[in-house]
Amino acid sequence: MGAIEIAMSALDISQLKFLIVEDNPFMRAILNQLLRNYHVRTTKEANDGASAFMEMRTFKPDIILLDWEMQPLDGLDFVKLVRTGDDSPDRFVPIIMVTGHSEAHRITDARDSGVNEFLVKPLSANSLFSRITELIEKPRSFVETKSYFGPDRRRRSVSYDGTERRGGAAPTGMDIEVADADQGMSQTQLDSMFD
Amino acid sequence: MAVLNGENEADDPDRLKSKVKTGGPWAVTGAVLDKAQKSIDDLSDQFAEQLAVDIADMVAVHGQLVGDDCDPSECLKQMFHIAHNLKGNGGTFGFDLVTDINYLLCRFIERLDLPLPPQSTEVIYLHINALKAVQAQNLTGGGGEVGKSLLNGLEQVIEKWGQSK
Repeated sequence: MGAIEIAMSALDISQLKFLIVEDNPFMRAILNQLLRNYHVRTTKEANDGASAFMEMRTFKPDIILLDWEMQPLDGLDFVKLVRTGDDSPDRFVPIIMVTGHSEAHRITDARDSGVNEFLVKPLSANSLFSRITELIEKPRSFVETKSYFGPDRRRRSVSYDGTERRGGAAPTGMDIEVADADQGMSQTQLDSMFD
Repeated sequence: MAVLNGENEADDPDRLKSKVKTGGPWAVTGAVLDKAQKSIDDLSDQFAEQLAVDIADMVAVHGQLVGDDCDPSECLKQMFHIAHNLKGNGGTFGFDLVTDINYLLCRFIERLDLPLPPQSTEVIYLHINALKAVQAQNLTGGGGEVGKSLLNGLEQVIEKWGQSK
């Protein structure tokens, strides 16, 4: 709400295909509306992880916007299936988790399951677009270890042709101090767990 | 640790860039973001309607819980699910107090073991009542003094409940 204060690169993302995975019809409508406003032309919706997995085969999304709390397959299980499932249609698809969960342990779980970006609600036009911009401008390499497959949990440093105009330095380093792991975190705090 | 770095198109970290341009008529500028935000703000009336529906659902689930008319574990899951959605959506539409109340309710539900401890359903209902007050008085933002009072009241009740457990 209110004026948008952060200037971002003026990217044209209209050719990207988005899959919205969200069980709440109201939030699905909001996400769709935001994407339409960003001039995105092709979106598809799924109301749980299982149907999203099916949709991936035919729709082949460029980016997935994913809720956490869904049944029967929740967001976290969906990410694990996409990243490590033998029959995954695309193990590398970029995933933004959009959720009301802001507790540190939840964010760690999401990161360790293989989400690329984490957006904590409340949602705004600016906050969602900033996560999409991160995927494009600062993509993570994928890594494989014995116990993990997914985007590098530290963002790789890349140069980008566009001019960086965002104000304020983001905190760096994954191991931030969280006094109480069950306390809600701000978007800035959780960003530091992904940077 | 193996780093997969663009040997195939699928694992190319820059795979999105080939479909994205900078500038042009479809670029997402500050003005586009402003317009997008306004389109969300304009949905706040619909959120108020959704809030009424969600409160009614919470009352129904609470009734089942109290009336021993459901599997308590399933009822708590349903209650948590509604509260969690409201927690996320409230602040998106300027109803920050809805987010705060449901944050407390989610944390409270997470503390509950089965069989339900005494008075836990009453504590849940106080949260629902607080949401009813927000709806009835259309308390946007933090709800001012009324909002502070509601949150303080809930926090005190939860603390007392925790001590008496």
